[in-house]
Amino acid sequence: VRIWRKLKYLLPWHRRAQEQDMREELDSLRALAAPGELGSLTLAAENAREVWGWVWLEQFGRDTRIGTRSLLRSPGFTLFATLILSIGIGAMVTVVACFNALFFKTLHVPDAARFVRIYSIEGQPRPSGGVAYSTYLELRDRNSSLQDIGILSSGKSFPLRLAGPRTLPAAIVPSAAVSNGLFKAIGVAMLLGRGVEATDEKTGAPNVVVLNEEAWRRYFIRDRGILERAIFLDNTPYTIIGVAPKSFEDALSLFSGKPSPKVFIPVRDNVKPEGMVDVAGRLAHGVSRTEAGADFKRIATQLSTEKNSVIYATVERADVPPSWLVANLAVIVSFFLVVVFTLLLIACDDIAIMLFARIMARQREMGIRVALGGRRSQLVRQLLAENILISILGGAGAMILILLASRLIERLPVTLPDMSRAIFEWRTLTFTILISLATTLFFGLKPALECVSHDVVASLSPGAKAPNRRHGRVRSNLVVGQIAACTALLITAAVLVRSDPFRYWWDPLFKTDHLWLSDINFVGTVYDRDSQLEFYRRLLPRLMAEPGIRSASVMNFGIMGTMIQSGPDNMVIGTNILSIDEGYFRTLQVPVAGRTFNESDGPRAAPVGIVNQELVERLILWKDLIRGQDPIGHKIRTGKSAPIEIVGVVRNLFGGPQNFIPVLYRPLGQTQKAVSDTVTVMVKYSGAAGPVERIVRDKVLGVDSSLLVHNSRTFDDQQRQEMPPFRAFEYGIGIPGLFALLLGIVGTYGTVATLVAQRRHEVGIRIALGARPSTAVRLLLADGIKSISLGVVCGIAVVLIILLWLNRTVGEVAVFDPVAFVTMALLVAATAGIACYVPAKRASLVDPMVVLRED
Amino acid sequence: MDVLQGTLDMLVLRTLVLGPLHGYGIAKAIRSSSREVLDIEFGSLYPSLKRLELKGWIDSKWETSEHNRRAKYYRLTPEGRKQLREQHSQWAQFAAAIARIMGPLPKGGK
Repeated sequence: VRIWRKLKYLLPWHRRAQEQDMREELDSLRALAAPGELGSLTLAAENAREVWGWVWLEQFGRDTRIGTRSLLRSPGFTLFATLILSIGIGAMVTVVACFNALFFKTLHVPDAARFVRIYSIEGQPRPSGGVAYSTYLELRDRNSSLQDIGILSSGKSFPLRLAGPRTLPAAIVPSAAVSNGLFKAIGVAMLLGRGVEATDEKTGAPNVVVLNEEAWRRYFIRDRGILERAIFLDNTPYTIIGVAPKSFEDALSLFSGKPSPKVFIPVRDNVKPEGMVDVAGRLAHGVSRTEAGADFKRIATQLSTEKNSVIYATVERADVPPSWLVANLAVIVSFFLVVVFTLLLIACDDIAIMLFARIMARQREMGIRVALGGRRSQLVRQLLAENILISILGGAGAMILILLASRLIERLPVTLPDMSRAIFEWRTLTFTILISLATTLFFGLKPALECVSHDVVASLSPGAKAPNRRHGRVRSNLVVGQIAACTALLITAAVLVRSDPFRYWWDPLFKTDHLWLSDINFVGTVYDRDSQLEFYRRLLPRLMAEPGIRSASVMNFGIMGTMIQSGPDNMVIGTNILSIDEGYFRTLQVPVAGRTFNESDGPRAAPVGIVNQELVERLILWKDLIRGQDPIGHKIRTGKSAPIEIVGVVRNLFGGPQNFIPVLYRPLGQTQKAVSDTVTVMVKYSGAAGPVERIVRDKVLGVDSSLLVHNSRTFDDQQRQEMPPFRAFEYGIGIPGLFALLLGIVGTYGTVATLVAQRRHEVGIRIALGARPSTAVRLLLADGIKSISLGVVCGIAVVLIILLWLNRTVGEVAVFDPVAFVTMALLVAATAGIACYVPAKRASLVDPMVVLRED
Repeated sequence: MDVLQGTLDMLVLRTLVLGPLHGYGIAKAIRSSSREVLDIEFGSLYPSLKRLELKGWIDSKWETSEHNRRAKYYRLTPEGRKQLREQHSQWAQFAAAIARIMGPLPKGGK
């Protein structure tokens, strides 16, 4: 009953009636009592209202109204404060959303803690990469700690045909072979139908396929009747048995660290997956991860003895990103967080400066209100309400900026997490709200307290508007700090972008312009190895006969690894192997010491290879070669195959962030054991790139019209696609940098303008006393210039520290990059200078009479 | 003399046992019954009335006063009566306990 009555007071009409009734009652009592006997009836009414409750709500509404009015009265301040805060919060949330999407994907799999990832690498103690299929089979059969274990083997990209074999394909879709154990280990129900089961893996079982949700949506418009229908991958019919939900894909891509394929086909007992497979499992009930780890360690020790090698096996959680990825990114993540946090602090600083200035202007107002009996706590509450309003505006502005930034990020030539999804995730939204409110305390509390603790009488006396010395110093320190931080961030961003620490090293003489790549899909065609080689021989002359095509070559771009056994102890060197034809180096215009491949390096000729300089260095390191010995003619051993004779050496064309990558080039004719699914045609063209794609397609179809040409791109695009996650962050650095620039411009202008505006009064008096406007401008500028130069100098000092640190932890960064230093310092100084000059000029134009009348 | 926190509500209820009264009447009644010892400020009494009304222990009605003036009269509700009975016995125990502890001061005590 009581709650109900209380709630009734929330109804405005009920409330009005109560107020009216109370007024009448008090009036009637006043008439009854002797004058003054009842004391202050207003106070009595006020206290009675508190009984009804909701006073806080009323106060909140009143504070908000007053705050809104006061913000609307000074639109300039509101606009600048909102902008500055938006930028600060925006930068913070963008970066945090990125990392959130990268690291804290929520896996919607049952009992996610029991979902584990397994690494087992020969000779590699650190968990990374995957597991060799033969090792997987041993792990699967010998372990006693997992209830399910399964693999993901990334496969070919198939032309997906819906209508029938040899019809126009709907798309080229990436596929993966997935074992039934993985479906069980992930343990989510399929959207439709079933997942892969053990019977699907039997030799001779019918071809079946599970689609992902996107494929179902895109090619079948979510048709629920697609089960048992056939689709054609290349030209082979596969029966659709199920549709996997998004949560299944998320689990796959999180545990393997690779994008999820669109179609899943069963691993077949008789087909051994090539290369490394990704292994995941589900812990048996009652088995901890540590126990499972010990179990796998035991198996690894057994295998090491049996295979006379060193094998490691590790078990780690699969519901978080792979540990090697996290370890690699940790430094970068912390750097980014420090940067955006600094940005946010600068933003808060800026607003604090502006608030201080505003408070100076409102001292008189506050003084009057205190003198009239306003409680100080009430005033603080009101000022804070104003600040919370700014925070809310800032948070809203930040969301807009983040959306803009996400658009920008999606345009970057790198694969970053799906930003728009990351932004509207509940964690990001909560974070935005919390950080917005937290900023209120950062920038708002101190000025608000400061404001009401002033001596009331002093603030009422004429001339009290001149800020006192202590505040002046605090504020000019804030300006120096803000300019310093801005300089530091901008220079760091510029140096990083220019010196590109995560860059793949490129030979400066290696020109990658005018190179065009197109893939030809051979999956499901009638070709065998020899007819495929014959196809190249017929295609290339036709391409080169075309005007505008200077050179053409064919290669197998799928970079595979191989192990070279080296030295007396049979140490192994991991190397990349690239299958190329005779025209490869000619097309790249790279000279080869020794000879390039030629027609005679066919399948039946003696195995030959061309090595890069880095592989030579490693051979020397592992004592296969003596330094100074000519590597040409030397034979290297790759385990199973016959020794390969080195016939040529090329310089290192590219390398990773830390070192060069060893490469062994082999002739296509010798590496291809069977028909190759996808081969890449590379042409060097002259003139415009426009017609090149059509020329290549026409020529390929001219030789065989049943083939499919797809994935056309330039060589540079190709390199960007292969960039590791580091590369994404190099681009990413530009984003806080951009925010810093924006903040630098808006923030400096806003704060300096506010500070200068504070001195309008002083300027007015000086002009009234006969000073020329230009003198006044100079006077106002002098302080600003002092702050700016001090700020820039401090900023440069900070940059040097940051760069030295980055140099130690991240990699090659030019510590002293004069261009970046000078440009950015000038940019900041010029912006800050303009930000000082414009308001100073405006202040000097003030009519002294107007200023003096204010007193 | 100030009134103990929470006791005021009880005093108001007790005063209203004698019959409906308006706000000013209640203040005067408490003052006179306590022989001018308790002078309750109207600023505290009035919210107390509103509080009791909200709890449903008293209700109010506009009536014409002895001087032919309109005033709002408060009266006890049955629930208020029940509350008063409870509080009264509690108060009696409490007062007796305090009296036992305090007792008369020993003579010559310093």
